[in-house]
This record gives sequence, C-alpha cells and structure tokens, in this order.
Amino acid sequence: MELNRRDFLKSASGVAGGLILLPSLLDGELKAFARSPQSGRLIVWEKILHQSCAVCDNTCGMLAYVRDGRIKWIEGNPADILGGEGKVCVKGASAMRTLYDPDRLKAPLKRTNLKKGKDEDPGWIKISWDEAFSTIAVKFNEAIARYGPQSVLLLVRPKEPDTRLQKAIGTPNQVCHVDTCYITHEVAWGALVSGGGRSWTLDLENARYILSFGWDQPGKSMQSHLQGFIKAKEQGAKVVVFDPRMSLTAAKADEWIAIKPGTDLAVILAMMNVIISEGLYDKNYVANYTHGFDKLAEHVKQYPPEWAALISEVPASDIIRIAREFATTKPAMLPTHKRDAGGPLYTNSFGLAQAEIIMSALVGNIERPGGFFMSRKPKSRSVDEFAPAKYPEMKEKRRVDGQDLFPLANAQRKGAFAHLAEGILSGKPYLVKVGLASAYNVLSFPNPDTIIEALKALDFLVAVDLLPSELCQLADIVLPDVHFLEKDGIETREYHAMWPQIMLREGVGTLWEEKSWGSIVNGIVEAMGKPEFKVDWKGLEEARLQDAGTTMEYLKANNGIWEDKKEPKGWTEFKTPSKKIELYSTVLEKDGYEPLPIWHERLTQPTAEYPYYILTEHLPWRRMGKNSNDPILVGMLPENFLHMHPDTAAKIGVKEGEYVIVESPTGKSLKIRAHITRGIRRDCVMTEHSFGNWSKGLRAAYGRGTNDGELLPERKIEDTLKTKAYNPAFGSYLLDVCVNVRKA
Amino acid sequence: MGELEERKARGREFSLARAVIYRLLSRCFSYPDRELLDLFDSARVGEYLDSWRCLGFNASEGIAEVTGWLKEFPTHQAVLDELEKEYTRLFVNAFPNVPAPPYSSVYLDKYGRVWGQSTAQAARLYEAAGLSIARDFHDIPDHIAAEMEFVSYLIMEQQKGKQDAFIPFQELASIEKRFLNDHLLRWTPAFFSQVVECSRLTFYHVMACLGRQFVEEETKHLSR
Repeated sequence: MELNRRDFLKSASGVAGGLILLPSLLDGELKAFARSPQSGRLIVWEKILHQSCAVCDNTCGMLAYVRDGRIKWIEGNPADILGGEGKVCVKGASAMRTLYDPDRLKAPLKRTNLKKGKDEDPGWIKISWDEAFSTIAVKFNEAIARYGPQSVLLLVRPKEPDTRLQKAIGTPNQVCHVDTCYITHEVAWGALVSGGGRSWTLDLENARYILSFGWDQPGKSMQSHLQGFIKAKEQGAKVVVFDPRMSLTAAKADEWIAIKPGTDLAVILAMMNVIISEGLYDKNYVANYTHGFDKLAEHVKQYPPEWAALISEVPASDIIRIAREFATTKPAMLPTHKRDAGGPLYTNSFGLAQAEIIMSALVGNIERPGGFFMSRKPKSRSVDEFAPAKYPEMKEKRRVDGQDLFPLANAQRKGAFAHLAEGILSGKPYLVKVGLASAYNVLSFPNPDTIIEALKALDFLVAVDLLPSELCQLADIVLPDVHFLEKDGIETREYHAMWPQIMLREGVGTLWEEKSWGSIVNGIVEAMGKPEFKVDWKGLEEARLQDAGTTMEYLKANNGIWEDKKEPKGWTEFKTPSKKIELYSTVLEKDGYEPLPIWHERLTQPTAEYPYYILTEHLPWRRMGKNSNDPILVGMLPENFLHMHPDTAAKIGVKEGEYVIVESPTGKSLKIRAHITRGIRRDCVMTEHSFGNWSKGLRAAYGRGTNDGELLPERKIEDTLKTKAYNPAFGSYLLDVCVNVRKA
Repeated sequence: MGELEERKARGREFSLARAVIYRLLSRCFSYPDRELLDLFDSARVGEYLDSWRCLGFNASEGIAEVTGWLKEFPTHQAVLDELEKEYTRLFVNAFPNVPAPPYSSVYLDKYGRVWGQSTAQAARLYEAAGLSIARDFHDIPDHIAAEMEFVSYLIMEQQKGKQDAFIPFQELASIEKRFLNDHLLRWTPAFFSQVVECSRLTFYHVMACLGRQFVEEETKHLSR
C-alpha cells in the first residue's frame, strides 16, 4: 500500500470544512460535547490514558485517547511544560501504529534453522517463556562455566535492568551505541564540568544568541529543544549555524555558514583567540568558576582567525564578527546534543566537544539562565539500595571492544559498537561465546556485514525487540518486548529536567505474550539459578515515588505529573578536582590526554579516488526500530536520496532523481537516487539514515532505500590507539571517511 | 412425523452441521496441539465428514489427504513440530514476514493494523452475546480462532430450549446475521486465500481450501 504525505496530513489534522460564512448562532462553541485539549478535536473516547513518549528520549507527556479498547488518537499532555509545552511530534502522535503493527513480535520464538545469514529463514517456532528462559540459562551458564563470565556479551543500553543483568553475570561486556552517538560530549562534560555525564538540559528559551556547530535538534523535532528554540526566536534571539549542509535549523537561522566538515574545532579555537585577546569574556564568571584560564589564553594565541579561515574556508572576518557577537550578546548559548559536529563524527571531535564547553564557560553560560543545566532529578534510591545483592566479583576487566584501553571512556561503562566486531572475530583479548541484544539492530553498526559475521560466530544469540529486525533474524531465541503504550509505571524526566518531574504511565495492557525488559531480566537471572538478583521493578517505582514525596494516586489526580517546580539554582561548585569548570583539564592531563583542545586534522581528506565528504541526516519522523514499519511514516519518504550541489551533479553528469553509485573504502557501494540542492557544499554528499532494511519481516520497511552504514568503516583498535592523545572518549569517528560518486 | 417437524429437524441438523464446521475451523487455526491431532483420528473424522455432507460438500477427499499426510510422520511429536513451525510462520512471526495475519482488521481496515475498527466491531458483538475474551487467550479479539468459535457458540445457543437461554434466541440470531454479514464473511475469504497461496504444509493448504469453500457457501446461504 502506497501512502503519501497527504494521507498522513488528512489523518493527523482532522480539520474539516472550508471557508463558509455561518450564521453567528452556528458559529458558537458546542456546550454539551467535549473537545480534546490540544487539538480541539471533537472525539469520542472511553478513557484518556497518561503516557510518557518513549520513541525518543525526550519523554514528552502524552494523552492517549482510548475508544473501543484501542488507542485512537495521541496528543501532548498540556501539563508537561518541560517535555515540550504539551506538544508531541509526529513520532509520538504515530506511536499507536507501531503498537498495533501485525508484524509485532508476539511470543518467544526459537530458531529451528541452524544456518544463519541474510538469506536464511530462521524457521521460528513459538515457545513458552519458561522454555525460553531455561534455554537461555543453560547456554549462558555453560559459557560462563567453560569460558568465564566475560564470554557473555550484552548489547544493551546502560539502563537499570541492563546493568543489573550485567552485574549478576559479572561480564565486563555491556556494549551500547554511544560511541557512534554522543560519547565525546559525555566524556568531555565529565572531565571538565560534572564528574559524570553531560548536560541534557538546555535553557534555549532564555538565550539571545544561539551558535550551532551542526546542532540540529529543532530539525529532529525533539520538542524540548524545538519549543525552546521557537520561543528564543520569537523573543528575538539571533541564530548562526555552521554546517556543511543547510539543516532545518540552518534554514531557520539568521546565518548559515557552510563550513568544511571536520574543521569546526579550528573555527572555535580562533573564536576563543578573538574573545580572549579582545577581553570580551565574562570576567566575573571566568574568575570565580573556571580553572586554567591563563593556560588557555596562552594556548589559543597560536590560533588566529586567518589560520582557521584557511582550514575551514570560513572567512576570517566572519569568525571575528561572530565571536564578538557571541561574547557580547547575553545570554549566548552554544547548544550541543548528540551526533552534531562535537559528537563522535571525526577523530578531532572530542577536541571540539571540549572546546564547546570552554566557549560556553568563557561567556558564563554553564549552570546559568540561557545556558546549560545539569538535569535536576528527584531524590530517588538506586536499584542496589532498593534490592541489595552480592554481585560476583568481575575478575576480567579487559573488554571485547577494547574500551578498557581508554579509561575515561570506560568509566562511563557504555562500550563501543565500532570496535566490537574486531574483538569478537579475533577472539582477543578472549573468546566471547554467547550474546543478548535488547532493542538494537545490526543496521545501527558501521559496516553491518562485519558485525553480522561477528554475531554469527557466537554459539548462541538472544534478541529482545518490538519488531522482527535483522538482528532477530540472526538470533537463536527471540523475545517480544512490550511497547511503551502497553506499559504501566512511571518515568523520571532526564532531558530538559529544569526541575524534578515524574510522569505517569497508564498502559492499554499487553496485546499478546510480551514481557517488559525488567521482567525478562528477572526471568533470565532466576532461570540461571541467581534469583537473588531479581528486582521488584514495580515496588522500586513505588519506593521512588515515596522518595520524591508523592504517590501514584497523586499522579492520577494531577494530570499524570508530579513536579517540584522551581527555577534551577545555578551551581557555584563543579564536580572536578578544582571544584571549577576546568578550561585546562587536570582530569585529562592525569590520564595522559591533551588537557587543552589542540588542533588536529580529521583522519581522512578527499582524494582523487574518493573525492567527497559523506554526511548523514536523521529524519524528524523516523526513529529506527521504534517506528521503521509504520506505513504512513515510511510513506512520507519511501526511500532515501543522495543530496548534492548542482555543480557536483553536473560534474558527475546526473540529473534530479537519477540513480548514482556511491563507493566507499569499505568496499561497499550503494545505488541511490540523486537529489540536487543548493543547500550543501560542493565537496559533500549527504544521505538520510534509517533506511535499507533487509529484514523482510518488516512489511512496510523492507527493501526501501539504502543503509548509509554500509559506507562507514568499522574501526580497528590499532588505528584508534594512534588518535588516543586527543580521543579519550574512544569515539567511532563515524563519518571520518570520504566516498566516490558516479552515475549508475 | 409431520412435514413441519421434519423441516424443523432438517433445519436443526443443518445448523448443527454449520456449528461443527465453524468449531472445526476454529481448532485448525488455533496454535496446534495434541487435541488438534486427535481430531484427525479416524474415529473422529466421520463426525464432521457427515457435517460437511449435510451442508452439501464432499470434503472426504480433502480430509483424506490431511489424514494421509499426518500418517507420514513417525510420531505425534514429529508432526506437531512441523505444524507449530508452519503455524508460527503463517500467523505469529516469521521471515520473510507473516504471510497471513489471522486478524480481521488487517484485511478490513485502512493501514492494515491490528486492533482496528473491525476488531471493535467483533468485540461489541461478543459483548452483545454475553461473552468476553478469556484472560488466558493472550491474543486479539478478532483472531480467526475466536471468531469461528463465536459463530459456533451462537448457533448452539440458538438451539437450546427457551428457558436455558441466557440471551433470547431471536437476539442471538440477529447477532449471528450481523456478525457474518458485516464482519466475518467480509474478510475470511481473503484470509483463507492467503493461507492457500502461502502455506507450505498440506494441512493448512487443505484446511484453508475447505475453509474458503465453506465461507463462500455461507455467503450464498445467507443471501438466500
């Protein structure tokens, strides 16, 4: 079934009628019938469920309207001011179409075809949960007995049930995707500011100057950033975007500067040079709350704007002007989030993430209105406090992805996708024999073929997911996860937590035999003969409500939200050895890293063989496995394109919509249609991510478009160690590759 | 026996035959178990072959094909393994995909999701007949097995004496008519055709052929 944008708009808007002049009596409001609060739609519902969206991590408060036992309509919960002013984006409003997807995983499945591969039908057979848990327990226990707990690989997020499972098993190998996503920001913030993770709370609304280096969250329709951005714009904030292509944010900006990819660090170093040499920094803030200013001032003298202009192709006069504007308009903000220029895209991205924090400190906007805040969360006990257990000692500290060689990154305990395949396939530093992946797909890895080979090499693999993904196809046991709209419980706000907030989840109940991830972990540890590691997750939620000083009843009676609403009081002490924001980082220095951001070229530059930089884009309505099989969302852009400048297209000899072949040093090539646009540099091409599913289990998504990940190389420890001095985050330098494009 | 009684008895026999076939199809399109295999014991087969015959079908060839196929397996477990694998592939989860989702809304509603408008329609009629889905059913109300079982229940209830009836039989008759005309017979021909086309096992292929023939006959019968 082909669906188009109009179908979607028709179904999403529900606005009826044209411009007919009505008698005034008929123009009045209906008295006896209710309207939904956000859309004003007249709808019939049996009940309204409170929810917190889990498609992305912004956790927008939602209202789900239930009719005939089924969620008919979703809109924002107006009481959730923090999540996005009571609005939800298209991903949230569409969530019920994935909930009700006929291809949802419904029951535990066992593979009967022992051959694994892209073209192998796994021959699934439905089994009971008991059989699934006992099979997993036998395989895991066998591997642990023969090869040690480190032989168990967990491809899971660093969330609570995940970490409980990891500690119960005693494996160091808890691996998640953040080395391809935001690890640079996380490690830089930990070292310079927080002693832990990064700030996820951006007070965009109060900023009067917004300077973006590839930050495009409004373009991802992430509500907390989007609504703050809109308010800032309404209140006259100036927006300047450095990005090799015209992102949605750039399109809404006052200025778009098409910077050469991977050179942002040079520009920002030159801006610091200007701000410091002209004395434009916030002297009070710098004196009271930062450490190492003099060393920084001396250091950036070597980076004048004229130098940066040669590297970045941004005129020196623009660098100087924007630096002055940024330092003199208050409050000025340099927003970052995940995979922007300071994310782990290039070998020099950590330096950029570090420099972005330093720039923010120079204008005094960390832990100040119009700037970054660390998330304010309610008082809440940990899993270990709630359910203390004696974990087995983790004797093997080395990791299969090599992250232990990068201690600051390893302290975050998140692992590295890009280096994983090498570890498994080489059997170094030891053998990994069994694995479990929860809500991860092989398409999220650079060069998926190598991770497929690696996962095939395991003796036994478990997959937990919503839909039959490509990774499920390789698994021996597949377990069905619950969709968030089925779930009861609570959600504590992490993103844009200006103050502590807890949201209620009221589910419609499970449709089939799915279990929540927490119950799955309980089932596994119990079957493994370790019942002491089970956690009463519901009880933990109750206890946390108590810790916060509230109850489930309160949430139900108060629009599904509890909050301790007060404007955040900015920190005056920071969690670093000097208790200040460390412009000169003693933490980095102690571990042998460069304490100040030093300019390094990115790893790869265009050559005659591979003359173009490759860029990728995440569409605001797609979120990988969370909605990849939604016929309406897929219909909005059924296949991805290769965006290129008209001059580039002329050089290649291709017209709009014609096919081109993109070739990468990975040895892979993609056939993809060209889209010609002036919104990109001539030396760059760009494609949209989250396409190219080959799991035919996904009815709507199968065979649509191509997967950009094919073009991106996996990484070898040996190569990455060469960048160690300035890549303490062990990032994947995901886009540090150039490609060739030719006519198909 | 007077002419009237004779007609009544024939009508009753006809209704019971329909109920048997609906129940049989419900069992055949539920997750396979030992009970299903027992249904195809030579002793039991005669029971519903008579029912097919009463409805004017000759199903004996098809059923003989199924029983013959079942006998090719050395053990009950061996045949169950095959049936479970195929049932999972056709109706639960599979690669390349679930070829025949067993839910009305996938065939009747826009965007082919589960729990659609038509699911609600089915659930409302169950409720009107005084039924609700069992807690341990773990599936959606418009699953083929539930719908087929529902019709056989409606027919049986109408055959009960007036004093035993929980809901007046005229009302049940009206529910049955609505359920068949507005719902079940609108999607099951497409569903059975999908199974006929995609099944790799004789069992599902034959039973879906018979099922399709039966619902087509029901459509004709109801329009008379």
